[in-house]
Amino acid sequence: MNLTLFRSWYAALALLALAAVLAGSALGSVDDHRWLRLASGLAALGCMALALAYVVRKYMHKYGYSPEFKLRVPIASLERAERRLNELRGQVLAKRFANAADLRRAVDRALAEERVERVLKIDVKPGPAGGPPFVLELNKAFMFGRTAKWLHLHVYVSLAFALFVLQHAGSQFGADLGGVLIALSLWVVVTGLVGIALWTFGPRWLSRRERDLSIEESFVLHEGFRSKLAQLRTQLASDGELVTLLDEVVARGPQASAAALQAAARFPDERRKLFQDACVLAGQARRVDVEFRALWRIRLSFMAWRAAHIPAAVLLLFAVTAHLVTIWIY
Amino acid sequence: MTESAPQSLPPEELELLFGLELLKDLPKRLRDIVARFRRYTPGVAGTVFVRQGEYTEDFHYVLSGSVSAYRTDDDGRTELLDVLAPHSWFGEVSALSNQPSLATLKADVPCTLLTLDGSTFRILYKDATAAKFREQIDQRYRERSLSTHLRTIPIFRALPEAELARVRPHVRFESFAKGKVIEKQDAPAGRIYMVRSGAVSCTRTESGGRQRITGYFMNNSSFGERTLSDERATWSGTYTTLAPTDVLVIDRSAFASVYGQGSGTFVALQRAAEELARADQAQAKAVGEGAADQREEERLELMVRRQSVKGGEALVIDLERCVRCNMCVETCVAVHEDRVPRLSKKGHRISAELNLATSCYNCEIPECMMSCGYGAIRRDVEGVIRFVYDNCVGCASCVSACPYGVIRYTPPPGAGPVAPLDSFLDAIPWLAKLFKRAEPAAAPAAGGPVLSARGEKVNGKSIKCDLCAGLPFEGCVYNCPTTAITRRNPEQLFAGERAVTGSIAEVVHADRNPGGGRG
Ligand code: SF4
Ligand code: SF4
Ligand code: SF4
Repeated sequence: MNLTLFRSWYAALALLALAAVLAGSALGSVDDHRWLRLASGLAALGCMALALAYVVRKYMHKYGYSPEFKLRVPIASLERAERRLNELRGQVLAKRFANAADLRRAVDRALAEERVERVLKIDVKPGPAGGPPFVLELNKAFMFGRTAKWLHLHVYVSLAFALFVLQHAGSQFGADLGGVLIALSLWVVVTGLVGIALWTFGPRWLSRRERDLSIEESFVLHEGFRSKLAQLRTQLASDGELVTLLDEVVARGPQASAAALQAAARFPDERRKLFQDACVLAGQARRVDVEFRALWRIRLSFMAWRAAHIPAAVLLLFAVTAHLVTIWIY
Repeated sequence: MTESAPQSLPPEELELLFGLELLKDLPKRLRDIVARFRRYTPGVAGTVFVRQGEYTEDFHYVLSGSVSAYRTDDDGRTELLDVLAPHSWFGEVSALSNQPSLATLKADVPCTLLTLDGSTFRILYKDATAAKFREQIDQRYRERSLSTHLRTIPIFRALPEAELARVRPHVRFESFAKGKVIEKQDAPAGRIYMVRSGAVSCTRTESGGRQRITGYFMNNSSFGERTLSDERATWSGTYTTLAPTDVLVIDRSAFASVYGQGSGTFVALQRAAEELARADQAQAKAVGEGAADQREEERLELMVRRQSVKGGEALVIDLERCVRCNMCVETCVAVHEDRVPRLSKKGHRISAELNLATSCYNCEIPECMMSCGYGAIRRDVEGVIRFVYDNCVGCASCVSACPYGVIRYTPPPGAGPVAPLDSFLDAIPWLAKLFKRAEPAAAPAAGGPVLSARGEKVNGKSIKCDLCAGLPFEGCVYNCPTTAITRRNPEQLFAGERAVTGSIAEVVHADRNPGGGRG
């Protein structure tokens, strides 16, 4: 079970939004206070932009257009820097650094001179008891934060978005475009909540079911058996009756295979053997097929969720744009 | 490597190279290899060629000048170990053992070194027709480094240098292929082994026929000391190599003849051996009973059977978190110009929750590197195993040598099908120009064979996870939306899997002698 989302500091954003909405409501209704409608609208818009940022970042990273990809430094520079860091470690061991600040400066200079400071992140820490006075710890520099963190942000600002949208709507809940906007927003948020449940429990569900074969393995086997079976069927094609029997075994499973094997007994040895192989393969294909379908159903639920959430989110984006344009015009 | 055309060097250089005592008896085939792959490393006074604690695998021969070897201990004291005059060499121990350098080697005056990369050196060292070469290397090792190495065996630690020197001539160097049984359970145990490189497991067959792995040995760990205190001791298990392994061997009889049974030194060694046996028993007893111990045993079993002991860090997917979005693989594709992913999620499922993705471990014992004869795999100073793409000829030895099957074989550059469009951006040139990464390496001119940087014909290229070299993050880990994929070392990995109380490090990676279970 993945509970990291529920331990995220970004939850504070949703709580802050809730507090802001409650405070706003205490002051009055958006129908009476124009500034309140404007503020909640702007807040909703800000939340939406942040939620979208996750999507943009994810796809930029996926396709290699993320600015972080342009930070790449040559391996030779990295290795030179690593050598210089080792040299500094040696100097630490020989007690040439009186304090951490001097060492920090030397580290920064080495990284800057080798031009790798944007890739190597070195922490200067006190050494262990009985060891060198300082240690240089190498960390990967996660400049813009891991995608997982952005997902947490996405979830919580989306919840905040829903709160601000409800406040912003006030009594105009049923107005034309407003109605569409609110319905879409709620749909996106509710499907998002389903997504959170899937995100939290889905992997366990899938991996319990995947004990014997992973979905990828079962897919590969499934396809492999299907193509082999098709090959054998082609080889049997000159004996129409065997092909019909094989089709029956494939369609009906073990119930049909005993009778089919009996019926095939009168064929020449070589043909009969081929038919037997095909029946064995059909049995194996069937078992894998059952496995694959079960796993596929779970995968489908993930896909169904995407189908419910993503297009609605895109529509919402258009609707919000239309809403902004209409406000601008009128 | 043997198929490559002989290198034509100027006669003076050939004379210089093969006039050297170390190389002069090499047969023609090996001379060609040296001629092809030799490098010269110049240095001014103060140039550091190798730094203590860094991984290196180059072998250096001092042609002119002089090089000093220093070692700094944990208290910061630096000691001069040796001054290497012309015709001395260094780097052979690291080249053979894959371990970090024990000393810093620094030029005293301007000097020139003849440098052979680790794979070339290993070819010469292991070739049966180059016995003289090996003899000289071993002899020098015996004189210079053997004492330092013997001191890593606990029973020798307190022995005075002069006494240790007496046993040195009796130390044998032996090499074993992977999967070779070195000693059988219950056979008389008459010798002590120290593992210089590679790994050895100890498996005990119990009365019911059940086989139990009791330990593993690598990185200067030793077994068999009990023979000193008990003349009739037998091996407590069967010792089998887990990788190509080099060991030092000293027979019990050598101790008896050098020091004399009953002499002060011999008795001191016996006492040290007994003490060691007692410590092992105490350790075994401390973890000897109960469920926790059983789990330790299972863990040891898992680590040895799955060969994790040889690995560095593994890429692990927590299946309880993974939503199977494939982002890890897609990011790996995005990171590499050739658009080939370096990981597969399929891997090995090691428990209900954990899956080891198929991706390089950067092994402690990199069998891929040991199998490569083209200098196309090397270990960087931090211990990361790097493939030198330009040197790879596609012989695929590494593919079959890697115990984890993580190396992918790809067609030579330009031979494969044209990569499909990455995205719609590729179809819109001005947009692509604005956003796209660097183009993949240029394909060779049509018709001509692809050649490696060293001039051999290239049949393909081996690739593996490079930890997103040069980038500030590991793409797969960085971009996983659920933090399901992480890099863990075997200890963390198995500790997480079994949630064992107490530390596996105490049992499996004990400082003195990993694995326990000595013979
Ligand atoms: S990116 Fe993470 S969640 Fe997605 S498939 Fe890879 S490991 Fe699983
Ligand atoms: S660390 Fe980089 S190269 Fe290695 S598998 Fe992950 S994304 Fe691929
Ligand atoms: S390629 Fe294989 S053998 Fe080589 S370091 Fe990686 S996991 Fe180890």
